[in-house]
Amino acid sequence: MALIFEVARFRYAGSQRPAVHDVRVEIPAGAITALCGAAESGKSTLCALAGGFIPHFTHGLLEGAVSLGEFDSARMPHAEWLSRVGIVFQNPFTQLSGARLTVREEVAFGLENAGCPPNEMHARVAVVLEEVGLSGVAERSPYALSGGQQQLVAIASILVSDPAWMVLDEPLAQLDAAVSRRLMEVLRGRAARGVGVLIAEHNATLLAEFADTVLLLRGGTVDALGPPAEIFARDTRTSHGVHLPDAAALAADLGWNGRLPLTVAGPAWPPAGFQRAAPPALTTGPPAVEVTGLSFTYDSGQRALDGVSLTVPVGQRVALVGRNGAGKSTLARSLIGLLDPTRGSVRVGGEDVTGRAGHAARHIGYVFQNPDDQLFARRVWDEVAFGPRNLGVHGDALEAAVREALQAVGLEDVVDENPRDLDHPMRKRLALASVLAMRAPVLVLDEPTGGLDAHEHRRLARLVETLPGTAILISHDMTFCADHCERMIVLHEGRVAADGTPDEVLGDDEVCVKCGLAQPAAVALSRECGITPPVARRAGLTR
Amino acid sequence: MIYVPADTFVDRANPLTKATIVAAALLVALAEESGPRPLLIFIALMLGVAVAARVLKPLLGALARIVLPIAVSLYVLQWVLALVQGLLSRQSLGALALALLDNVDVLGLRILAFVTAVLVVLLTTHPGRLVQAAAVRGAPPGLCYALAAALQIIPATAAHARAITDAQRARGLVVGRGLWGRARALPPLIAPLLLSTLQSAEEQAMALEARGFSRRGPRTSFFEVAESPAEPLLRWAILAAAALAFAHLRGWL
Repeated sequence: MALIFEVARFRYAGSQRPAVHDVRVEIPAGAITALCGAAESGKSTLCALAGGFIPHFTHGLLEGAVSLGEFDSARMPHAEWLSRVGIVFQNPFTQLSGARLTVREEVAFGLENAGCPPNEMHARVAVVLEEVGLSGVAERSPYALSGGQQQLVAIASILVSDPAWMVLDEPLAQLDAAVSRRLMEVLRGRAARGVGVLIAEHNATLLAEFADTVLLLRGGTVDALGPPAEIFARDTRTSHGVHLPDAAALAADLGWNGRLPLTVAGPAWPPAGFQRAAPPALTTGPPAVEVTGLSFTYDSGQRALDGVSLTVPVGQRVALVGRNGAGKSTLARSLIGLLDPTRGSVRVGGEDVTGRAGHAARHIGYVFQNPDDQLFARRVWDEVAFGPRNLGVHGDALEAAVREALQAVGLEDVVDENPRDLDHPMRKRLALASVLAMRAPVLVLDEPTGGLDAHEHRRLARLVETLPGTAILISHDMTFCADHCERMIVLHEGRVAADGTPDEVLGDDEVCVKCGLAQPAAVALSRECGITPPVARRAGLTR
Repeated sequence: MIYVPADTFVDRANPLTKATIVAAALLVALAEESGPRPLLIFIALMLGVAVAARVLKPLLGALARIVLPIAVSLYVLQWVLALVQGLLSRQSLGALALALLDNVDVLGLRILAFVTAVLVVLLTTHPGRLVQAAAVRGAPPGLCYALAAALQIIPATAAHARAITDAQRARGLVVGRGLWGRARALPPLIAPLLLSTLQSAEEQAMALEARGFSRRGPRTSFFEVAESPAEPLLRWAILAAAALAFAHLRGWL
């Protein structure tokens, strides 16, 4: 049964501007339909409309309707609508019921409410946990899992109810490449069984492979609707702020003329036209960060780091990559002295900062993944000034540090705004500015590209390129890491599994499979062109 | 939460059975005429259960922290009352001290019996399981959800508070010494926690709705209460024995 949007406009209570308008589209069941658009283009609002949360839950003015066949979401009791349409939201933490002690019980929560017989419930939960790869943590507390695993729990909790429709709002944002692919395969399997899937997502590479249709949004309305090959045939990054699939982006950056391709294979590419560009020289110099034999075991007994040793020279751009739970965040938190390691030491700028967070802040800045964990001031200016003030910077020096940081992230025009009034990408930039203002010689960025549209992605890329000191990026975005980092350190089960240039690491199939890294399209194109060993950076290929 | 996970028969027993034991303890302890002997037997039994459940050490530690201060306070209070009533002028100091200790003995033993039983249950039962067992037995789902969610969300909120503290420490925040130093560090810690908790509450309500929590009709339970066929009988037997003991102590039998 198709999901039909007949929405003239919807605006949130207290807002003058409609969040979506003139959305008249019929989305077929038994297929995956992707919602693509820049920040504030209306993706989440359409998801809320599809789930019936507008108008049942969220206040605002709705002109129009959303229906499934003869059922109208506004006229049907919400609980009944939700028995047909399952919805997964962006924040995995708030989707946990809070009332179940194990992952298995958490996934069964919806079935309990529906009165499903216990035997059937046990069987369905076991199947879904296996499907999404959570069987190994079935008896753990959902609160003890990583953000990515919690997102899988939220998805499994809806999958298990087997609704006729599934609506997912950025489900892949916290998942590594291997898990993302697996989840898309699960969704494709559901679509093949007749389930309708509507997914708002930035990962255009997977959407190009798995989605049947892309609904391209701009300014709260549908700008284009068609198969991925049609939608991504032109560069949507500048026109719509929508990411391109990796191969299409590579083609566009290499000066492709005509319709952009979705893969690097096929006769459309002129392989003979590309060759390896001279690789950039690896930055060398005195050590900025020295990690020696670092081990860390959490109170739960989980060993997160196991004898990690590495040195990062001053000025180097390093990507720290690996699967969810590989130990990346634990290592980064140890670098800034937030964790007291079980064994080993950390030196930054020659000073031992092991377990000394307050002391480490002068030497190393850390931009956390979730900006809302740190924003507290009433003005953007005060928020940015907080860090330098803590380090004893005052007067003109403070003024200069704040102004410079705000300019670097493009927020100099909102100094008097309340940080909470900014949209999510701007809050992410503000969090970054608040750390930049501390002028630490080493900067750690935790998932800086997560949830960013193409406009923000490009802005971040420019910023990373111009950062003055040493930078360590923790990310699942291999293309971004390959293009903007000169070195890649791969963690796997708490140990360094590989350490080299992006070309060396991402050109190694064995490492990529073992550590769940998605190879950029440049690697595949290199192989098509007979370039051995392959290159991973877009700039590594030239005509 | 003081629950100590251990794979013992006490740990696996139905939480309702354990709650019944607490109810029985309360009943016996409340009987005014209960002398020290039944209370001592009950306490010895509870200590035996604690040994079997491998929680004797944490039990003794908790008892020392809870019961000892109460007993000392009671003794001091008895002295104050005795002095007010002028008992010291009628008895020698030693005789009065022993008499007061005797009073405290019985009252203290009642408290000890009750607290021991409660602690044994809490040390061997995850509170969430207790709530789930009550839900399986037909307690109102809304009430059970509220209790279970409170138990889960408190540690989760504490973890979130730690994440916020980490984010601010990474920006050089040092929690100063003394009241003023601590007070100055509060806004950057409290504001993000409060704001995100408010936002989370709305999102969580939506997520619960999405999973059919407000749906009407019969509910089922995924969680199965482990219970031997004899356990319901045991619960009734415990309650009956406690009721009989209570009636006997009150002189009704």
